[in-house]
Amino acid sequence: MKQNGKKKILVVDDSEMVRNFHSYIIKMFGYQVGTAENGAVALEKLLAGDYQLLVTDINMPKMDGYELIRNVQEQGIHIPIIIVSTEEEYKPGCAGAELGSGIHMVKPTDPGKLVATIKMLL
Amino acid sequence: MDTMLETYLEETEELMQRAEECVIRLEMEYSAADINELFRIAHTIKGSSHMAGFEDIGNLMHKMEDMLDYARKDAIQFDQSVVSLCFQALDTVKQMLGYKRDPGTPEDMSRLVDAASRIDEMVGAFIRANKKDEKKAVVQQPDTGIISSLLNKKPKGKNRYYITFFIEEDAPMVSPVFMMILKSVGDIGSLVYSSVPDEYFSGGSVADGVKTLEIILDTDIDEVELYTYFAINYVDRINVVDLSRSRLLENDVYFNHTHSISHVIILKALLKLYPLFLKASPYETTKEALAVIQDFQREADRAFDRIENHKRIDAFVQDFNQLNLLITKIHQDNFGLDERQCSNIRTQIAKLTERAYARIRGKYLFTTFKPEKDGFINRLKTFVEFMDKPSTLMVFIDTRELSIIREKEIKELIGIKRRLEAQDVELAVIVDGPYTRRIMNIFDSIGSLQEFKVYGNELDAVLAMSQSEEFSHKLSRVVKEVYYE
Repeated sequence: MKQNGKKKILVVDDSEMVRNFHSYIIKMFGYQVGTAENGAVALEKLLAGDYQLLVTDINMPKMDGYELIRNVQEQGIHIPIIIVSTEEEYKPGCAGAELGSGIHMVKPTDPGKLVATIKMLL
Repeated sequence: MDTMLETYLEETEELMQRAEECVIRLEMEYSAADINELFRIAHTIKGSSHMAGFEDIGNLMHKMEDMLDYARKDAIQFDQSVVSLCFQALDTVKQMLGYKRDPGTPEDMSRLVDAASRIDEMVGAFIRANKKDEKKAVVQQPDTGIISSLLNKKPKGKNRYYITFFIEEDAPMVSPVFMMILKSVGDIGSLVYSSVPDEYFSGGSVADGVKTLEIILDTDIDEVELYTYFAINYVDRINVVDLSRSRLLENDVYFNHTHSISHVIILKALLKLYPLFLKASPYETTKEALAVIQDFQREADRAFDRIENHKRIDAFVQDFNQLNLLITKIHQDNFGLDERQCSNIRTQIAKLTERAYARIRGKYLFTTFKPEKDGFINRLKTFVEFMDKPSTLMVFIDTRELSIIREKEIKELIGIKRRLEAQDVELAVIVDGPYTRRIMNIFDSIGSLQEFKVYGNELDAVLAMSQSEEFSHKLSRVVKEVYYE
């Protein structure tokens, strides 16, 4: 079984299906995974736990992905971020995009690309 | 039905319920909040449907989303036609969901596909006719299927393998695992055959129950390296048949986590035993030796218990038990051994070690990389990237195909060795073949810069290392992690 150094990754998406899909792909490579259904829950978990990477959606209720990223930065949590969203949601120059701290990937997620990106960042 | 699919259906059905309520409210009275909510729901369903492989539902929701986007931006007038198109789209999606849950006749499906494309056209026509500005809707190009794009590559590579992957029974979803396997295939060689077609991934039908993937792979890499690229969780067993060989071996390579882990334990036990018989003769039984031996027997028993199908390894178990008996007898009767007897026992342990080693090589703890003349470093880099470092102790670079190692390559090799060491993985060199002396000299000459352990073969290396305390600690730690995860 792959162990991958027991690194922990937080997967954030309001769709349970997407959360499960992303978690599943990541677990295939031995990483540990936590999940959150919106930015607010995610921020709580990030502050509480030792996560090494964040994979987040943009369009979510309560706290969206951009607000989450802004909060993560304000709280001084320095971890790599992968934004997984539809093409329309991610517009260069829109609110939050200037934060520039994330690598953007387009839904539907290409599992190979997601894992390659994670390996590159961790 | 896999749990991932179950989650998708439940979630989508719930969203559909909410979407319908929105449309009912919108039918009575315009509300920006409801349009936004409906847009968001369509958007979510679109995303998860594509991910689940249900492009039919995803595409239809995409169309509805486009229409609602225009409406909320006031690019088209929101009126009864929009409401009616939404109702039709939702109704079709609902039927499609029912079909995913409980497949009906092919006629039902084709009726639904017709309905979907009709709605699709209607929405498209409606947008074109009513759009106030000239903004063009995004047209999605269908991707070429993953299998055909791999099959279209020119077959290349000196080895041809027939590989069967067995997915764990309780894996929540099978297709993403297949996708990851195929991704690795693309990285290391070319696909010649696949037991699943493109359609499997586009999800037109829920071909559920498929738990195995068979492929024929052409690649330059050696069988022992293959496992590194296919070490994916949820893959229960891998069966590799080397088709470039003229005939099949009796026990063709068969990789199963449980079996391999048991062999890891047996190997560890043997390696602990071996140094006992290296001591100066005459051999005398001591308390410490007795403790090691009792430990050895306990661990071996436990490991053999875990192997389900004893038949496959019967000969191995028999030989192992014989050695075990002999050693127990020596200690029970407390008789000394002369050098010849000692060396005899060493040989027996070495032989068993070799057999246990052969079963885990490339899969756990030890792996071997065989460089070829060209592109040696780049291929090694990819290999190391794929490698699961926490369960690897040692990487052997088997240089028998090399006639020379260039200075630039040596520098890179040193870098790789140091990076691996930082992650507690050792890199050693196996030197064998016609250029042994030359390669040895190269590693000798850089000894002051970076020392490389050089061995004549892998078994010698493993046995030599068994005598180092540090190695045996590391071995225990990794075995613990692998065994008790």
